[in-house]
Amino acid sequence: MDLLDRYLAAVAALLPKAQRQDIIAELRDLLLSQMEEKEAELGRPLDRAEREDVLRAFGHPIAVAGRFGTPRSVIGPELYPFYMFAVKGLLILTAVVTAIPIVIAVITGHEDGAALAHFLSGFLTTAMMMIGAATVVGAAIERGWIQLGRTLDWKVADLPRLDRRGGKVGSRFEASFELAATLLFILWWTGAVEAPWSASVARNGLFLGATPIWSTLYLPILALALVQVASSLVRMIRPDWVRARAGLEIVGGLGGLALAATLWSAGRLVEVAAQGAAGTRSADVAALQLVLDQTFQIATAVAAAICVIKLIVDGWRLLRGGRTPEAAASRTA
Amino acid sequence: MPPNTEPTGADIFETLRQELRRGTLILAVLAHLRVERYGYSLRQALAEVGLEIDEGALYPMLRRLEGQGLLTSEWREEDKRKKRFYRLSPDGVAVLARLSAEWRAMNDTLQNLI
Repeated sequence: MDLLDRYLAAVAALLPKAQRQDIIAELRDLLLSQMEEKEAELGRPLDRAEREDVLRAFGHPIAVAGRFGTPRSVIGPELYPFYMFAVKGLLILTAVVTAIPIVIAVITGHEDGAALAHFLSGFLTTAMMMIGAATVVGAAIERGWIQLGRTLDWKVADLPRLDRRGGKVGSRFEASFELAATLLFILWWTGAVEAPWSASVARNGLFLGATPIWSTLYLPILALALVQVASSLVRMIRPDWVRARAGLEIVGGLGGLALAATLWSAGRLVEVAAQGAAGTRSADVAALQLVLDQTFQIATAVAAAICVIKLIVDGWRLLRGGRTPEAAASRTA
Repeated sequence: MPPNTEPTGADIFETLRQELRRGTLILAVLAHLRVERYGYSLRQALAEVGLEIDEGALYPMLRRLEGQGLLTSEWREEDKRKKRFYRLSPDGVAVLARLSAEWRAMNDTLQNLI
């Protein structure tokens, strides 16, 4: 088979079947014309190497066939900024979620000296999966397999207000920290991880035991933590949803106030138990119990006061959350 | 010392030059196809007036313009070889007229600026 035929066969194999014959016939004419032009210049027929040079100069079969295809990016230029924003968000979330069990292991002393390796291994694997998933979804949107409808419609008034304390960046950072802390709490509360302080207390022969009130409040406290997660997510993903977040915070604040009242009326919240040699120091145990009772009572009172302040602040946000500077200006005009 | 990967002035100029040429080449191709031509002869005609165009770009462009209904084509034998001849379709004539007017207006504006 002639070099030209081999070259065209390689291109043809990569072309859409419907247009293959047509395109190849045209390319054959073009390449033969180029060779004839070269032969006219040299005044003699081209040798094998010279014919090969003409074909090589025309381009690799994959590149040549690609020029005749429909030009389409996996993620087009219009979708790309949204895709990158989503990927960055997913990477931050992946880093936080991957770090949580490792941080817990470090705090509780269960870390085996390979925390960084565990983090990198977990992060890289999950991050690759996240990027892959985001790319598949992006490609599906690009091709119209997933219709966004009016999802990307936006209003200038919906953008976060820059005059808010801390600004957008600080607010997102605080929200991610808040989210990580709440997730850590939920993991501990549901028994997924051990209490960070249990090991150090146990070493002294003293054990802190929860009083029955905590079992009674297990589900309400879990529900409050989940409300906090929802609020942090709103703050991270849609900081412009001021009213939604204020509503969630008010629910959390009312729940916190009710919780503080219940804990206050319950009295003792933890019980100190001693074992072994520590059991003989009953005076020390009683003194520790007293200190703990007083500390928890003060903490409950402070928590209640914080809840009241938060309720006032979030109530104010809920009332004026929908107002924009433009709207306020138009009212005063 | 790490290699310098910053684009040079020549790189920037070449990129901008290609961007500038991309749209004008379509106009030139349409204008040249008021007369029927096959691909290779079209490239030669463009080269004669100073517009060099890579064949790798020209042939897909002709097919795209034909797909958009601006060109018509037919296979005919010439010089003992079958060749595909292109020419402007009625829609192509109308689009060329509008693009030409746009080009002249832009040219007049730019003449006052540069």
